[in-house]
Amino acid sequence: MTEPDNKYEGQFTAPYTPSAEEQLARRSRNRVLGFALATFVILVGVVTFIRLSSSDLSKSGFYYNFKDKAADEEMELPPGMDPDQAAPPPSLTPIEPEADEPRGEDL
Amino acid sequence: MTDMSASHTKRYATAGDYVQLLKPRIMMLVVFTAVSGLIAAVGVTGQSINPIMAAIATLSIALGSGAAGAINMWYDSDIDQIMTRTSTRPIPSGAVPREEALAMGLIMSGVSVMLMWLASNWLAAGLLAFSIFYYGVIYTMWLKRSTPQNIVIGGGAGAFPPVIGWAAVTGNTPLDAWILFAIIFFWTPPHFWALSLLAHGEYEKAGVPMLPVTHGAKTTRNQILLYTLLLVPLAMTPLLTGLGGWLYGAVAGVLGLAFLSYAVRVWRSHAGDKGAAPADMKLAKGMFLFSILYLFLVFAALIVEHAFGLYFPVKVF
Repeated sequence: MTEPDNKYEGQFTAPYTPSAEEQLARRSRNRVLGFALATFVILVGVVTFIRLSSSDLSKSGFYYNFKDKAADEEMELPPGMDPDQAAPPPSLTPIEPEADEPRGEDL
Repeated sequence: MTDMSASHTKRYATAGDYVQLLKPRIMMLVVFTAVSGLIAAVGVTGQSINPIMAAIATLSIALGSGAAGAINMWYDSDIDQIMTRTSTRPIPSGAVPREEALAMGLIMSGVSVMLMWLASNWLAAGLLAFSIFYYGVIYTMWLKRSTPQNIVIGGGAGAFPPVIGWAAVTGNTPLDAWILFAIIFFWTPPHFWALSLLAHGEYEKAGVPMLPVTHGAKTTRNQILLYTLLLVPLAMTPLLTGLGGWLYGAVAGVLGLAFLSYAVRVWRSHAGDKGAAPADMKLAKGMFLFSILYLFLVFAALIVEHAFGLYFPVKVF
């Protein structure tokens, strides 16, 4: 048995069909909205990247720092000693590590 | 308030209508003064800001200005419909529903403050949030319809951008930043009252208590002169603090005298009076337009000095 075609007649309103002009306006608005949202996401991404790459932790090498920071800092000399006395003799040269010896940075 | 769209032929909003909600002309002046604050801060303090962060901070200020404009248009849609000058705006013309303007204003406020905080610091973000609140709530919802001093007190909202720009760079707001604030603050009354001398009939029709409506054109002309007399020497104070150099001093001095000359001529005229001569009304319009040029060039001088290495300090003492 088949149902009569007019069974739901009067119970539902006809679906709304936007006019061509309205569709055009909607499309234009949606494009701008989409562009604005994409721009926002990109901006937040860029700001996050810049902030992280220029943060104090990154600058100081917090995560991967094999350098002894104390060596970079100027040592306080004992009373009565001037910097010339504290300097190593000019005849001393720094010892270069052996080629096959692993260095801290390579670990 | 009533539904504005009901009384108008249905018109579908385009992206341009939403741009109009942001008051783009005001936004341009806001961005310009903010950038000058930002550049002056770099020049004076020697502190730096990442150029991309500076651009995003400037964009945040533009968004904040637009957000405040949208909130203003949402609240004022009833009086905008009455005044001829504003009746073609997106809400009274029926293109944009009021609720959409409000939603847009609120969302943009949040986005602008958040972006500012991410790009600079909490102080700049807090000042931006406060300036949006100042314009959208204190000025639009409270002062504008309740006191003839609405423009004077409300002028604070438009004066914040250079302070925000300065705070975005340095994280604080020293005297120099507040001098820039004061210049815009004291510039606003003569600027806006010159316009209201031309359009006071419209404000009267809409029931907005602008000074020419409540106290008459003569009092308004007196007040224009008074505020210009305060503004001109105030605009020279950057020379004392070292914020402005010779170039700034020359520009602010010459333009200040020209502004004062306009104010005196308007004061002596009958602009705004019933049956005022067209020449008098033209003078008021001329002053309104010149005031825009004045602010633009004074802040441009600061930008040129600090951005292009043309800063030569004036030794006052």
